[in-house]
Amino acid sequence: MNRAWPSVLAVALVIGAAPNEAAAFCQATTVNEGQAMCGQVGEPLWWPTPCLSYAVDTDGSQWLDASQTRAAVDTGFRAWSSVTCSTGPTDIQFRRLADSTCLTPEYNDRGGNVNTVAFLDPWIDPRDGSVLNPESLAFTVVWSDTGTGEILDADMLINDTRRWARCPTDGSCTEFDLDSVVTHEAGHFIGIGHSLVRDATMFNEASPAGDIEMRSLEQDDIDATCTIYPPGSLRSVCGESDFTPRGGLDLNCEDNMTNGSGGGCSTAIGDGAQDAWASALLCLALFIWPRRRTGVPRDEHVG
Amino acid sequence: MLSTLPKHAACVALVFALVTAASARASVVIALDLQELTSKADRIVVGRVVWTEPIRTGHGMIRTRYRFAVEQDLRGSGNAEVLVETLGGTIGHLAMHVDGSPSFALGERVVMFLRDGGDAIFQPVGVAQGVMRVERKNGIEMVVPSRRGTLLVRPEAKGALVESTGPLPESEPLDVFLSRVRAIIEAQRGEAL
Repeated sequence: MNRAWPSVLAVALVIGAAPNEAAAFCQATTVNEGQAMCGQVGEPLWWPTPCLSYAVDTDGSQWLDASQTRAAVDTGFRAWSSVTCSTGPTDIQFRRLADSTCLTPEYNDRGGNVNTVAFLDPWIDPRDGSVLNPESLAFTVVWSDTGTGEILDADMLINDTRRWARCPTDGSCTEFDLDSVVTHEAGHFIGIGHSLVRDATMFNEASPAGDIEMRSLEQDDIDATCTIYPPGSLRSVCGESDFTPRGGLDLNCEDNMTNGSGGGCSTAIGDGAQDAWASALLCLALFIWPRRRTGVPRDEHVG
Repeated sequence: MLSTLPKHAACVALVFALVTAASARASVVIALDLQELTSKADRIVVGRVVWTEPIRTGHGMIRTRYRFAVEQDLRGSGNAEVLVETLGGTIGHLAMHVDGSPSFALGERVVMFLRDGGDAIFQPVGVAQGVMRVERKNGIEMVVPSRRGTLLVRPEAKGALVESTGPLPESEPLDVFLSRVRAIIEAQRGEAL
């Protein structure tokens, strides 16, 4: 019986050592079961590299012009890469790649990938047409390795049936502030869960539309970043190729939607497309997939 | 092994665990009050999870299907079991998380407000807002809000912007909650006539 005591204490200490949401931020984990508590089940999520990239869908939001859409998305990610910890600036760097036509969250373990930021109208999963929850304004899909917690890919979906804007700093805005929501979602992109600290960008509830306070990170958000990614823990210099997603870059994932096995119209780096003509035709057909748009001007912007 | 532990040791561990309770992740979701949640639901049930299975098409999203044994039908009727699908899950070594998407453990008991997604598959209304977990506290069955992982936002019709805590701000006894829901259903039925 006495030998059981170390086990009891170990259990208590392990549970107690997990991030406490009442106190601060939460690092998301690989397991999201029932009322599982933050950090108590599964492996904590983390990117193994500080050199992260994303690509905005070619059409962007119908409520903003292309440059404004991209600027809002950039603002959201930049908030996290601008964090300065007590021991120095964070290692995390974001690079916006060329626009993507990938509108569906996916992870291809046998080919190229892209961390996509997609604006969907209609608000459905393009892969199978299933309706996404209409009350959901935006969500981030994080793909991870269950054994290590290593984040493999992350995709952000934004419900473009709702009105988005880049709200003025005085908060006089009845649309949803895209910068704020992307900033919040970008926190999930790097593996941060919610916080109970009311001012935090990662606070978990009840923020009014038009609220732009989420654009700026608070100490709790900074603590999360610095704890999960302490300066110096990852390499700090990113070469151009370091921003390539796992398995190579595939900006056009629609090919995977048709056969579930990759190939097709991909312009993947390191994931060769064999038949360019067939691929082009396939891409053309896929672009016919119904999307209500308002003629958003397009630009070619590689950040 | 737990049976071999001193009772007070188990209590220490349990209390410590409960004190440090926390949760994770968030989607940005339009807040609903209980009237809205009820009106949007095609089916409202009290049920228990009896089966679960992750599914995935190609490289696309992982979804998890849960089969619930229906204990009570508050709105809608049909099979004694209802199939609910949520985003996220694990297949092999690959996990996919969607912030705030509800997930359930086998045997878990919940009140659910469900939208018919076609093919006899339902999804919770308002993401996690449509899921109230049933827990026994001090011998009383309580419904517990499941806002975990949801950032609730709410625009008012005339442009005024207000905060909302969703359809169930605080835990309340299950029977009281179900009575409230039944009253709303009756009122909405009256309005519809």
